[in-house]
Amino acid sequence: MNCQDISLLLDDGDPGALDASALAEVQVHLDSCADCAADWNMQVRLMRRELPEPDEVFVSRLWQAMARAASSGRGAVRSGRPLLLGGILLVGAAAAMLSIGPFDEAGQWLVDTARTPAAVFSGSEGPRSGGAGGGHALSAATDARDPRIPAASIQANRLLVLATEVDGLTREELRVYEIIRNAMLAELRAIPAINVVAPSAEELEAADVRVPLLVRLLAMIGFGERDPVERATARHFGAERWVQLVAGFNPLAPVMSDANFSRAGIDVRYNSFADDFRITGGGGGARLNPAERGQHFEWDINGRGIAVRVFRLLFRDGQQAYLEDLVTTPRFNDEQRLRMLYMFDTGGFGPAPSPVVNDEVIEGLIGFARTASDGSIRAQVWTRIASSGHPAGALPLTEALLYDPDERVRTTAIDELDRYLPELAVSIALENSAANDPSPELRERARWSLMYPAERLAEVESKLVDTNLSPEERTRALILARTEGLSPAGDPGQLGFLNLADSSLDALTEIAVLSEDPATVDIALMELGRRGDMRLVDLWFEQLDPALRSRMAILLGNYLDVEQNRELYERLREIESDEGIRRQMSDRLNPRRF
Amino acid sequence: MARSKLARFRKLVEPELALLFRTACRLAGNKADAEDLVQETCLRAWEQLPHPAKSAHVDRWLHRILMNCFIDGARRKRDGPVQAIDGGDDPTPQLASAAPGPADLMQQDEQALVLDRAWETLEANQKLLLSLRAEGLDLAEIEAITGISRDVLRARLHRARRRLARGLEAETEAAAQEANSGRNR
Repeated sequence: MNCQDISLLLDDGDPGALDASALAEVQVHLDSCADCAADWNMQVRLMRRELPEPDEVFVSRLWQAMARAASSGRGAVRSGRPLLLGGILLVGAAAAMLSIGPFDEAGQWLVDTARTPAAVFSGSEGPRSGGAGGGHALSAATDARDPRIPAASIQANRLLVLATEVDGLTREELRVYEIIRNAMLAELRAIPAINVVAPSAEELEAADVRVPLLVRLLAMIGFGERDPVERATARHFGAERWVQLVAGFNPLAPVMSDANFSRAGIDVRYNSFADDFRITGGGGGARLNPAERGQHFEWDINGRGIAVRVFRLLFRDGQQAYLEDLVTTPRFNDEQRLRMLYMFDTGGFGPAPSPVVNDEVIEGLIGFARTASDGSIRAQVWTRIASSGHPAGALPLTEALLYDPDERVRTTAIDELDRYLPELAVSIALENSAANDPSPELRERARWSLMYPAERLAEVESKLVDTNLSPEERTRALILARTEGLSPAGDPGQLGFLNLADSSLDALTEIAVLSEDPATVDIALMELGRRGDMRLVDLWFEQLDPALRSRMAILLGNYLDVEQNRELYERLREIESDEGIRRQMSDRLNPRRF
Repeated sequence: MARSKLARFRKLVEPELALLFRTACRLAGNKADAEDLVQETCLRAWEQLPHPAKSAHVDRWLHRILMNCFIDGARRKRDGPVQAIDGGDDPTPQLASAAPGPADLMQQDEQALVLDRAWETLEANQKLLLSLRAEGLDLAEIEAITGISRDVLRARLHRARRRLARGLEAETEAAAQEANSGRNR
């Protein structure tokens, strides 16, 4: 037997029907010819490959479709998908069309030219209520409940099909798909342009239909910590399923190639040997063995990382505008909107470099700040509004100061209104707060915010030397001054430099010696330490309490930046024998530095 | 009237459905697309009634339609709008490729996966010929379906087999390397 015989057998014969002797001959040749062996083995594998049979559901759907075709003509019926998927296919097909720009046969992707989308939707969704966008009249075809599903390319929604059928979704997953599908359908309904019969690709593109869909989806997943979708995904979706979810419902599914995911910082690799997926991205990477999935990684991948990255990848140019829309339109709950606001304002990557400046956004945010049910959220939104410096924020903020029942909001208002001084209305509101706020602390805070820095310093110094006050009261004034009134009960060491007079420094030394309250003593010592003042060194020698000496040693070490101070150097050398302080100062007391 | 016509059509097509579906599965690479393909085939067949129904070779007739549907679909996929917007020349396999989805892949054995990948390197008409052959159709039957002469069919089958075998080798190597790198990591 030679190569030609093998080829003939492969072309026209039935290898399975060969008898033992013929098979032996074949085997002899295959052992000596690698090409024929490869061809033979490959064909045998193809022939023996297990293939699915058409199941009953499919056969039933097929004949239903044929029956409809028989009654209404070819072209109107194409899909064998159940109605659940009908909407998804429509959305996917429509959005895919829109996402990739003009092409030849726009109508075939979205709707059959004889039908309105309303009629199509009505088949699976029932009567509609008004969408979020409103404004589009339903056509008369709405009531003609026609389950026909618009034509879609066989290949166009491959991922949808894979994700929903081939992979055998769990019930929970199907529920999530249902939620997403409904959200997307609702979004579609809210877009007047979609209700045009057979719109051209250009018309739809001009209406920018695709973006709200995807933004909505990504936002739901990326920002919706308490959204049912995210809850479900966090519990049930592995990362690979999540990627399918995004890619599958992504109107740009064909665009979300591995390469694009990779560009977005997401890398998906299936390892057939280990039979698992490796997904890196979303701020971290891990091997996705189900047993090894940590909560953090789940969160990172399933929660925000990918969605945010995909979002940013797809909306490099328009993301600000769309986020503005999302933030200012109450389609999400307060927490989601707040998260989006931070994302919008900071780009999702740290402190805000780009404050909100758009008039409409400010207006939307003010509405949000007024209506959010949680005081903490209201306070944060007011902060974002004020940090924009937009003048429209001033008056609403004064209202918040005067009328908001939550102390956190009023505190924020006092702090942020400082930006708008000396505007008359703001001054009046602060004066009112300083006189009437139910909280003594906030009254004091408001009073301080109305004072100029020199006034504050003068008041501090007068209190520091006022021996009629307790040491605690005297140092509290110091804290207020140091923090410019922003943090009466907070850390006194964070802000500001006070050019205190000698009399005040003496008073601090006195407080450090006299007070029995460790916090008060620390505040006094810290202020002296900050100054690099020799009084602290003197105090060190006088102080016998080892705990206090230890704290002072730290302060001394911290303020040795006064390297040129020879006197200080000499004094500190004297106390270098102390183990604690030596550790602090061993390097700094190197004589060569002087 | 239409109902009885449909009943006749069903009687004609239903016995061939399993074979048609198997071929569609081979061509499409997954069940969902195979269902679409079979449905499309049936709809086109319905449109072509009644004259082909007189033919004794319903299977060939249906396979010819299936072939055309598949090649049309492949052409649409190649030329149509479903392309990467950033040029479409990205050599990286897309998530939306014809390869099975991740959950499918996990359920398949490694060899089947490798075969799938190699299969995807074939051209549409090569897939078609090999699929028909793998279903046990001989050259005469394939000739009747495709309208291609036997000599040309032999040459094309040979080329398709060689290409698939080479693809298989390459994919097997790639899988082994991937496994090795996975172990090393």
